[in-house]
Amino acid sequence: MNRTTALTVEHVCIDYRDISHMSLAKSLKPGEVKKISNVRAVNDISFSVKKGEILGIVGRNGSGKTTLLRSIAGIFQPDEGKIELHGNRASLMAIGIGFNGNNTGRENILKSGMLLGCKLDYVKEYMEEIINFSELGDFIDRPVRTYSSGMYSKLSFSVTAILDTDIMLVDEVLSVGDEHFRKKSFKKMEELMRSDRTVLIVSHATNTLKEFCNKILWIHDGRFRMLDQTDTVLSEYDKSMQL
Amino acid sequence: MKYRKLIKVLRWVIACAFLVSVITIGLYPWKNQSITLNINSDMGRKTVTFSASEINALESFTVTCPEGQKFIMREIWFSRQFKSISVAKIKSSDIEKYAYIDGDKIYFNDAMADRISELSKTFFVERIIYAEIALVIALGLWIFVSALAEKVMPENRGNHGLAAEIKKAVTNIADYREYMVYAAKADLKAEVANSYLNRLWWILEPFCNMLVYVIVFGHIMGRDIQNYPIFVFSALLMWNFFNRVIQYSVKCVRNNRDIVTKVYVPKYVLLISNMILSFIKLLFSFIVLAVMLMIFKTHIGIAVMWIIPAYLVMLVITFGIGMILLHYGVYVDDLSYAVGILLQMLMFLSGIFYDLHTSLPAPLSGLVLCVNPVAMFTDTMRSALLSNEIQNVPLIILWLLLAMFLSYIGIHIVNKNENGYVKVI
Repeated sequence: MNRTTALTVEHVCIDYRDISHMSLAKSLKPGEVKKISNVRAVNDISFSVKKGEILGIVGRNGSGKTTLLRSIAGIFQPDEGKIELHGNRASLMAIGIGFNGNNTGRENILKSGMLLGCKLDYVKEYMEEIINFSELGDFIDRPVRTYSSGMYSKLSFSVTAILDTDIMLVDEVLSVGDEHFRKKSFKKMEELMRSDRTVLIVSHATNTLKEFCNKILWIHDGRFRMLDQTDTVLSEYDKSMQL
Repeated sequence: MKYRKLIKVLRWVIACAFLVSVITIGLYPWKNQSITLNINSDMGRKTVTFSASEINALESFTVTCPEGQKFIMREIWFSRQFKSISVAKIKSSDIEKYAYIDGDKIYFNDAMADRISELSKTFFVERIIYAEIALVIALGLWIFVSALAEKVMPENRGNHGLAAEIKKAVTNIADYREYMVYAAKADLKAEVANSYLNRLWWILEPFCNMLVYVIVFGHIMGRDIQNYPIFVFSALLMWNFFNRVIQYSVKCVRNNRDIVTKVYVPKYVLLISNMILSFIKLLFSFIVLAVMLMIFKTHIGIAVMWIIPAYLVMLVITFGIGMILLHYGVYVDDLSYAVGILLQMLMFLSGIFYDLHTSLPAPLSGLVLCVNPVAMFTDTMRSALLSNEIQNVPLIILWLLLAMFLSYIGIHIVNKNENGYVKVI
């Protein structure tokens, strides 16, 4: 099967500049600002994903998985290397993009949908579907601050799951909601898998990855470690995780 | 490499040319100027111009006013080279020291003649304006050269120059138009969601503000300024907008951490959304202003249209300063305190609740008017709304240009650095 490439990542490096917090007095001293130490979070990673493929990314905490995903989502450009989306739109599936607690669920769906790059009419068209999927019922017209945390996650998962983006970047959000909703979101993921959507999943849950992924990318300390069939990588990864 | 040298030379040339022109403008011995006397009355404006030679021989003089007895002088202001910029003003309570009306003639005494000849000798305000023109030209060239430099230098691969950057900003703003408006409305709704008085607060807040100023300062200023409540309220609307947006811009990226860390948004979208929010509030206050104008039976003429450029300058300059502060606000923790203090100082220096021309001593009032954009646009708006006059035309044009340059600089800085914001907050 010869499928088109959906995403290529070439020699990507991403630095964290350690200048996070500065006082005004410090910023005025010319010497202080230049003492920037760079931390390389992602170091020379290349891979490509074909259309309709589901790629899992594993690695220990702080190995740069989230940074890589954010960079693919376009939140920031890589410091070196290139990320080519081949005309696809990528979005990070995250909890509550631009949610405001005082707004109702409906308003927040619109806001977050538009932030994902959809037009107002498009989001309105899918509104009912999102509301149905989220199982919130009457709560949808109440302020989001009155929601329980499970309801909150359900709503935000529904927004990204229903609104179409070509490449979905999932960062540990599959474990949201109660058992019922979890099953439902798993089902949704399977549906997405069938429907030619390209998905990148970051997760620590190897069971989830086994179920969905065609391939697994293993990152260790920001460096490329392995990219192969799911079972091969996961068994190696599990071995290295043993005490 | 040779480009780098050329650019460096060009920058030096621009900087030196600017300095030289400022010094020349500062020291050039301009001869005595002609002075225009503008007499504002209930029946409209009467202007008389004296040339330099006339002023030399000037003693007491008379001016004929066609309306005769009905002519009541409200204030007298002087203009020099720029006809629309007031260089000095005589408030209504002081007019009797200089002039009285008898029949259909206004008699001006020697004191007035002295005042005119004194004004004719200085050239202070004009010098500042010429220096500002030099600044606009130099800044424009500097931006052009810098943009050129970034285009030719190989290490700036992502940047495609001035035109591309502006085009990108415009298309981005067009793309996010729906979001900005919707987010502004939603935030506005969220703001009032759990208060009893709801939307009434947008009207009550500036109104109560105005009452405070009227109670505190009304006694001191009120005698000299006609319709003092409107005088304060109309300026307060502009100031509140400016103040709110600037305060917000410093914390803009941090406040929107949820959005910025999860999805790519051009950062000016966040700022513009807040500007729309503040502007909607301002429009609500306009209703109060309209009611007040009716209660005080203020005469409004066609010159009231001149508040549109004043508001335009306000919007563009707020955006420009806001963008620059947005960038530094990400990195510098305590910038919001400093900005708060500076804003408070700026407010007292902007003549929100006093008249710049009569309350400040002569050279200072001209300086404040030319250098402080807030003072300039509030003064322009007030003279258009309350005195039916088109004032400060050169300053409006200059500041509009400067504000556009500031906006470009802001967009440029943010474009260049926004990749790093997520890593910092």
